This record gives sequence, structure tokens and C-alpha cells, in this order.
Amino acid sequence: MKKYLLVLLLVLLFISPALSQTAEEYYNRAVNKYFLGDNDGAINDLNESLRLDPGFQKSTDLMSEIKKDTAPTPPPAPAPAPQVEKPKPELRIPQLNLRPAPKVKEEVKKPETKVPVFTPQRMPQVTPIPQSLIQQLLFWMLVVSILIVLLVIRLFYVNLKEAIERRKYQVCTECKWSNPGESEFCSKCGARLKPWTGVSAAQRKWYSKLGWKRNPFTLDIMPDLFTGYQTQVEAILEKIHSRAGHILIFGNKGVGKTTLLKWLTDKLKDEFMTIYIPRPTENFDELLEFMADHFKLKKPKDRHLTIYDIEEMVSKTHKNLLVLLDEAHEFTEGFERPLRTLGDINGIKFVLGGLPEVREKIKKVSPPFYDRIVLEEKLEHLTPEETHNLIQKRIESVGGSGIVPFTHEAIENIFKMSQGIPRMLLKVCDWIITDAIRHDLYVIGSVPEAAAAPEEAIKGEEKK
Amino acid sequence: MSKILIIDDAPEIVTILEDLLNAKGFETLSASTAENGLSQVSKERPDLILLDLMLPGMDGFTFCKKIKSEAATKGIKIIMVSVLRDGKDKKKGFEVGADDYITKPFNPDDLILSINKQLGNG
Repeated sequence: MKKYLLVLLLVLLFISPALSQTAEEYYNRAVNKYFLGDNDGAINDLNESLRLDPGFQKSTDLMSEIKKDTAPTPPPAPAPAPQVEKPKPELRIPQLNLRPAPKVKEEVKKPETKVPVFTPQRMPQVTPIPQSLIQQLLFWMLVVSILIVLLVIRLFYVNLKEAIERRKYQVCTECKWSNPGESEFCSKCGARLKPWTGVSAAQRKWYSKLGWKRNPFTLDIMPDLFTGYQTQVEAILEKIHSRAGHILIFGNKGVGKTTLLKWLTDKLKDEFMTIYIPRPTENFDELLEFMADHFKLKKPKDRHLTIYDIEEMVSKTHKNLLVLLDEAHEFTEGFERPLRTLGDINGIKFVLGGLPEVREKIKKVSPPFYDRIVLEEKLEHLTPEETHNLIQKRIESVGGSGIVPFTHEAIENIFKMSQGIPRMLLKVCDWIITDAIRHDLYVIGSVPEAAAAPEEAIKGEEKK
Repeated sequence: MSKILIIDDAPEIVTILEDLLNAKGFETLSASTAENGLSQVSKERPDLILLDLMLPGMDGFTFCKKIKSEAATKGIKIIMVSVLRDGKDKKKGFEVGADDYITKPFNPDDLILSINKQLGNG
């Protein structure tokens, strides 16, 4: 917006001189020059004036006047001479004929001229400087008006946007009170409406002191930071490579099933055709469409996709297809057929992830598929060492160093509080650093353990 | 069964503490602000309050002072929970009437010990 205003202003500034040069102004300049005896200059200005406005009568009159003045001296007319000499016939001398013509004209014709501007008394009337000023004034008023209009439009737009934002209400989870969209806390019970996701000045300062680019303890799935479950991961990889059958991974919420499935999808993508499916589809066609889109498979124009298209694709690529299906406990009977049909094809293997009830569900809904499961792995929780590694990986991923600001004792307590469940662990860490930011505290844990942390972190510990 | 009021503005942490305390046989209540906590105190009369110091609106110190200054509520035990481990903060907590002060992140066993001690459960 500012750029547009600036460009508009510049354009107006460039064209303003051109706009201000009028026929009237050239005429005025010509009059001044004429008075100073600069007839050539006056003619030039009059020419300019007439170029701008060919019908400008005053310029035409003055031009003809000057032309008459500067014309070669005509031979003395016989008629005027007797008129002049009539009262004094005795003073008639031949030199009179040699007098410059302008002077004669000045004396004789001046009172008759149509251009009254020659008399000094009338100068104020003919010098239209005020008109020029009015033109300039009008021009700048126009510019200012345009700017004001643009400003008003801008303010209106901002206010409108804010009004729309305000109309978006958010309901408090504590008391169910409707609050304006921008409120951070509930106006009725005071509960926090928005999580601490925004980076405030205090957060920025705290992060920068630790060398962090952002909060590492968000609940974002980061497969590349996957850590832990060493025994289970080794068993899963072994079974995938043996291509013996399907695999089932189950565990409570937040134990890291999704992260593990995504990590496997990425890790095995060169060896297998891998596809991560976030949740079971409603029916077979939907699943086939999803797979075709993922692998950019050309869809037949005259018919629906079939299992044979997928089978053909798999056979052409000479790679096994590994389908990593998340939230498998959500599957309905509509998904049983795709699961069983695809699962029967030799080149296709499933890795299912879900809550503990998934085992019973598959066993009940699709016994043939359950029979083809060769490995069931339960994810429970991380060990204290894996907890330490996960915290360290998260901190280092945002530019931090080791486990700073936590002490080893703090990590132990975080493990105990979260029971080693990754999602809980991240929440506990976030809870603690939020408090540390509020108190401007740079070492979290007891003092003797703090000695193990890097020196620079300890230096910044005390609140100034 | 002893009734414990948890005042903390982080719902996930309230859940963790509720699970922990319920597993140990305590009844739990929760509030996300000190103001909300005051109304819970008058309605429910908890035996003990687990109080986070940094709260939106009224802070933990003010809340504690208020509870301990009223005859009807001064008998309620208060355990302050804070990331601050500085002596002066603890001192301030005890000055306004806190019965104990626990530093975040805490060992859940230490918390249970402190609660039992305050409630006279041996």
C-alpha cells in the first residue's frame, strides 16, 4: 500500500510542473519581458502561450502589438504629418521624417491600444499571480485528497478485517463461555483460551539466550527425531525385510506409534514403495484412489480403478509395496475387504498401527487377515535413557546444546512425571519451560546438578 | 478420602496430576485460575491445594495469602509448585502461609510424600 502511495506521489510530482505552465503564465512572462525591452523573449513566450492555447486572445493581441513595434520603419505617411504639423507649420523640418517609428507610435497610439497592461497603474490587474497560486493550491489539494481517500480506504479495510476477526468467537473449555476471537483468557472464568504458541518478547529473549530458534517441545510429529523402542524397532525391521507377512504395532495414546510409522515410511522408501495412510478409508475405491494419487498412477478413463491396477503397478516397479496404516483401530467393516484383498497379494505388506483394542477388532472382523500377521509389537514407554535422548534430540534440533537448560536431575523427574510416554514428556517439558520463561530462569533442576550444565547457561541463570 | 484442589493453567499437567493422585486414592478437583480456585474452595472445601505460582490474573502468592487470612479457609493446607528453586521465593511462599513448596519438575513420589505429611497420613 505504501509503495502505491509513493509511486502515485512521484508521478504527480513529475507531472505537476507541466500542469502549472499555462498560456496565461506565458503571457504574463511575455508582458514582463516586453516591459523590459526583451521583445524576442516576449515573442517566444507568446508563441508558447499560443501553442498551449491558440485561441488566447490577449497573447494574440500582444503578439501583433510587438510585431508592429519591431517591424521595419514604414515610410512616413503623408496624411499624419500634416495633422501633426498643422498647429506648427513653421517648425516643419525634413528630419522629422527620420524619427523612429516606435516613438511616434508610442506617442500617438498608446492611448488607443487594446492592451491596457502597459500602464503601470493597471499592472496588478493583469498579473494573475494569484491565479497561478490557486492552480498550485488546487493541485496539491487534489494530491492530499487522493491520499486521504486512500488512507480512509485502508483504515476501513483494517477495521473491517478486525471486525470479522472479532466475530469469530471461541468457546471456553472450562465454563463454555463465548469469548471474542482475539481473547487470550476467558472473560468469565479467566481460563487460558489459547495455548502458549505465540512467541512473545520474553520467549524470544529466553530462546535466544539458549540458542534456540523455537520451542522444541511442541507436539508436532517429527519422524527424523524418532528415538527409543530399540528392541521393537529391530524386530519390526527384521520382519519387514523378511517379507513374511503383516505387522501390527499397538499402544496407548501418545506412545509414539504415528512417529514410528512415519519414520518407517521414510526410512524404507528406497527399498520399498511406501505409503503412509493416516486412517482407514471408508471403502475400497477410496483406498485405491488414495494410492493411485500417491504413486501418480494413471487412472483409466473408461472405468474405476481396480486392485489389478495396483497389482500391475507393483509388478512393474519390481519393488514390494509397504502400506503403513495408522489409527487402524478405527477401521470399519467397509475396510475389511481392501485389507484382506490387498493383504493377499504377495508383493503388498501392511504395517498397522493403533490403540490396544486393534488386535481384538482385526481378530473379530477379519480373521483371514489376522492370520497373516507375523509380528505384534506393543509400544509402552521410553526408558530413562531414551527419555534423555529424546529431550536432547529435540533441543539440538532447534539449535540448542545438549540438555540445557535441564539438569540431569530434572530429566529424571520429567521421566517420572511423564512415565516415559513421549507425548506426556513433551507436555511436561513445555509446562516447565513456560514457567522458566515467565521467571527468566535458565537452569531447570537442582543446583548440584546444574554444575553439569554448560557454564554459559549457568551464568545466565540468575534473574537480573 | 482426602480432597485435593489442583490450581494450574496447563490442562495437560492437571491431567497428569489428577491421574497420579487418583491412583493414590485422593479425590481431585481442578481450577485453571486463582479466581476459579477461590470459588472451588468456598464450594468444595478441599483438604489441600496444589498451587501453581504463575497463573493468569491473580498469582499464587496472593491466592495463598487470601486463603490463609480467612478463618474459614486458613486450615486448608497449601503446597506451592513452581520452577523457582531460589531461597527467597520459597521464603516468600512460606511468609504468605504456604505449608510446603515443591520445585518443578518434581519426583511424583516426593509430591505424594509431601501431601501425606501435610494431611497427617503418616
